[in-house]
Amino acid sequence: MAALHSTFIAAAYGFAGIVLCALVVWIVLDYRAQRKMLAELEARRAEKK
Amino acid sequence: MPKTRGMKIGDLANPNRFLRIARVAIPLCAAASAVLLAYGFYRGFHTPAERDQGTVFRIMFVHVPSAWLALGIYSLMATAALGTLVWRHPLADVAQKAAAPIGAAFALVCLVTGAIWGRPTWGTYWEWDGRLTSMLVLFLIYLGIIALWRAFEEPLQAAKAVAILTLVGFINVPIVKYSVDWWSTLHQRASVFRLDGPTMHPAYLSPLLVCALGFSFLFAALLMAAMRNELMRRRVRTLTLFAAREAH
Repeated sequence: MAALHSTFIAAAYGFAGIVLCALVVWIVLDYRAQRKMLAELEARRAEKK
Repeated sequence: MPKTRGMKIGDLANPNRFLRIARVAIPLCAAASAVLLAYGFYRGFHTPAERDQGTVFRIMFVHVPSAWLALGIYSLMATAALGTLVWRHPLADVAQKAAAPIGAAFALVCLVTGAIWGRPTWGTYWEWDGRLTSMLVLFLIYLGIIALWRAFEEPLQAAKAVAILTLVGFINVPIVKYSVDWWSTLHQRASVFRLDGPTMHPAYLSPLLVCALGFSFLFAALLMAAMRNELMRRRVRTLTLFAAREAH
């Protein structure tokens, strides 16, 4: 019974960990992408000036 | 009269000031979250087994805070929707857009961990009862809000439509909360937020509250980071439109 319960506990914590880690990774990657695009656009503007 | 140097909540309305505060607050909230979750899970996994459920009740330390946050984040989004429609706060729609995927993630975690917990305790992963169904509806509303944000190209136009949908959807929040009192459900009644006080044993209640605080700090860090991304996305959009106009 205890081993069976451990499987359910591991599944629940594993799923929560995957979803929350995916959320963190998505936000970090989005930040890098936006920062890169912003830097490129501002560099292009500075060149024109 | 001398000016007060203390910061007011209204000062956060300035996006540049928000970005300066977020730069310091994001790592602080993330660190607080890591410490509190580590301590909360440690305490939670060192409590004695529950009389009826054995050790499987430990799913509670992730399931219950996720449920509270899914409801709390939606309430925050409804407040932000009022901020967009009534007070026209410049960060209200940014906060609302940033919070939606985070709320959806917590609602999903709540639904799936609840289903996993349900199998050994109720003998089923799913039952179409009041609490489970209304929580699923909350998750679907979150998805609808995310889809509506993506349906518009102009963020300010989207903000109004999303604010109205968010306020209409808010009717589901009290339904989720009181579903266990209004209908006969498999799900147990509230055992923490009750008018007559918590009925949960302190040995289980204190690690649960520590975990809930830890997840709340995680939410705060993620929300500020996602709001910062959204402000940058809008700046990118403005600069791209500006460059296109200059090219013609």
